[in-house]
Amino acid sequence: MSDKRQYLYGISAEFSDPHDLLDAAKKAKDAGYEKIEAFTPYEVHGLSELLGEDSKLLEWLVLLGGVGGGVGAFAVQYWSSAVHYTLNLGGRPLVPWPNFLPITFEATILGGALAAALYMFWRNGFPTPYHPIFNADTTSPASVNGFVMVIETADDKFDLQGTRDFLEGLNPVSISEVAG
Amino acid sequence: MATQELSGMTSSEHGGKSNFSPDRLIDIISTPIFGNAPAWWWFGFSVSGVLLLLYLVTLAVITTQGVGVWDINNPVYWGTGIINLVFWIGIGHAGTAISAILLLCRQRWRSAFARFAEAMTLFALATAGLFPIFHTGRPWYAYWVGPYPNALGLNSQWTSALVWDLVAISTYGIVSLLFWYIDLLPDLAIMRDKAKGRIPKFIYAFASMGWRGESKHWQRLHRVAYLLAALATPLVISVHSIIGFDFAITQLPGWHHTVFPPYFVGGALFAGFAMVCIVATMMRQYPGMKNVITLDHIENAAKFVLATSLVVGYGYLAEVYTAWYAGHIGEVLLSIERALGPYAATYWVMIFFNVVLTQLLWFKSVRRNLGLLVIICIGVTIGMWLERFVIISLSMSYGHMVSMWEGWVPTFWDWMTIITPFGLFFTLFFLFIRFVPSLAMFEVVEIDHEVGWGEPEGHSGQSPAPVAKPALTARAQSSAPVAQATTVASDEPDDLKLIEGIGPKMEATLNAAGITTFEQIANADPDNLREIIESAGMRLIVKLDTWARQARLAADGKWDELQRYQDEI
Repeated sequence: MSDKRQYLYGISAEFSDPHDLLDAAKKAKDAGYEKIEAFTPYEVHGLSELLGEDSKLLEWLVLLGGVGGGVGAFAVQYWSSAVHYTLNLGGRPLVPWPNFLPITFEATILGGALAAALYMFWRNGFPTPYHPIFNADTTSPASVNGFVMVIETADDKFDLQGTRDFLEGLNPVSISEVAG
Repeated sequence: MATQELSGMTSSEHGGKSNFSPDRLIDIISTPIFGNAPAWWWFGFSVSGVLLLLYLVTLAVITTQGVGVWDINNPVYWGTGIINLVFWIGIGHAGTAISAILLLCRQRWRSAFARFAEAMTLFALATAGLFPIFHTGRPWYAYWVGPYPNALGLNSQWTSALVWDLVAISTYGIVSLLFWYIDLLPDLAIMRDKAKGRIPKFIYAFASMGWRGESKHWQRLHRVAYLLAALATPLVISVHSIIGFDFAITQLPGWHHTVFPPYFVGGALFAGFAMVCIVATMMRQYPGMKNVITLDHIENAAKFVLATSLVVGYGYLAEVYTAWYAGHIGEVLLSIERALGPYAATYWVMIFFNVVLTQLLWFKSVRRNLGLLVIICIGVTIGMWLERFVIISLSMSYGHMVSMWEGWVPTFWDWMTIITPFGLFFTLFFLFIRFVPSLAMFEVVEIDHEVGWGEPEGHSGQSPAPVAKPALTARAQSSAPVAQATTVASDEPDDLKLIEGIGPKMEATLNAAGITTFEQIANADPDNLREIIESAGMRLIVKLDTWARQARLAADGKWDELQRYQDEI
């Protein structure tokens, strides 16, 4: 391993369409590479099976956020009407629970939605102003029409020349070394 | 950009079809942002800007002089401020309904609509939210409604509809914003990579938060979007229901109706879809947009307008019926006063615009006639404002006791409060179409790939077009080298892709079935073709009924005529 490893994020290979990218990712996996990341202009079905599925945490967090929001909102209304500042209006019940439902409902939705959105920002690491992939030299940016795969230098099997040769064997449109 | 060049790009109800490479598609959609704004944009932006300034003046007058400038009185406490609140919230309903409900139903044609309809929702909510704040008369104390720690140890009055409104509207605003923004990230990343100048690049990079399309990013985006859609759907329905509770939980004749929550939701979708039709027609004036927001899309929205118009009509009937059936003297009196009293004109104009005129939408020719449709939709917008006037102010002027009978007439500042907020709404909207991708670019490109049409011609170069066709060369040049020959022998296979509706996959299917020339398609039985295509497992057949004529023109070498025909269809 050369000193370059400290300065390189990895080697990128750009493919002309999603099928080529998928094939390449399969071959790279078969060849024993682990630190592979793909960058595509839209979701390519099949990639997630290769590069790892996202965890099921999201659904649980949304459930937790929704229940938390609803229970929290009802608790605040209950506490403030029945405990903190009781107000007897002509003998009406201190806790008119049907009247608490609109706010409870809205808070449930809000809690769930915030949990879902924050999960995405958290797991994506957003905001990420800088990422090495922005240095990749591709004919088309991954956001527009580039199907780009990167084998990272952090991979145990990474070897500057060997990995480059391997990627070249996959029939890419372009290959570039991506500075870290 | 030459419109002829764009004619190759069409999107139909079934998805999208284009003869362009994704780069080109994105160029077209981002034209409004990187190109120079057309004259009508500057005109619209200037008019909205002037209205916005007048709105600021109006708000200043309301704040400094007090809400008395609206002449609201006892018993008509709720005038233009509250009427406008309900009116604008209603307009904000269509956006999230379109994007959330259609996403859950997997209606992919929504991608032509969803982005700007959601933006419309956000801007309508921003406009609506100001009214109750200024209606308080002391907007700087508006936060008193919400729960916050204070020296008096007071809490919010949780059973007050005012607090419900605050929670419902702000929740709706936040969830709509999240839903809109999350879906916008990949497009902002495209803008970041496409932008030329340093400052635009920085701004788009900042806004896109570092989106880079990793496979996990996409997984998360789709999962979060579906969950948000599932959460937003009941939310859309709840918001106007809660606004309906503002009225329904009181004892006042004309308000105390159980039909109010669903009736309000129906009315909100009605007003919202009418505004979507108006705005979509406006968006189509941008070069190229005609091919992305098609008549099919607008027709779908027009059908929604018709359907919700019937719901609203049912609401009007239900009110009168309830009054008669209950035999409540206050309700009966109010119904008579609405139809025959001093404000009868507002009632009948409302009925005319909301229930009568909309019946024209039963006709397909009316739904596809944009001029007529916009007139009907403007009528709906006026009608729905009047509906809120009839419900809110008119009901207030006929209380249970004669001493609670008092009329209300809008003043000059009322008219200003009615008209000038359109300035805020449209200023935001014009800025939006200028600086934010108004269509979901990544979705359009994805659909384009999935359907198999418009595969990146330049990359493979394996489908050389054997025919040079003057009008189509522009698009060939737009992507990388495509071999072009100038002659075609009669028995050699034709490039079937020149027919609108046939892409590389479709062509391969047809070739496999032995169909290789224009002549064969021109003479083929459409049912036969459909069978061939469907048995090959392809579902999306676009404009099959036009293939024969297209192929006939192509076989005869009438390229100009074909181009004209393709422009039409």
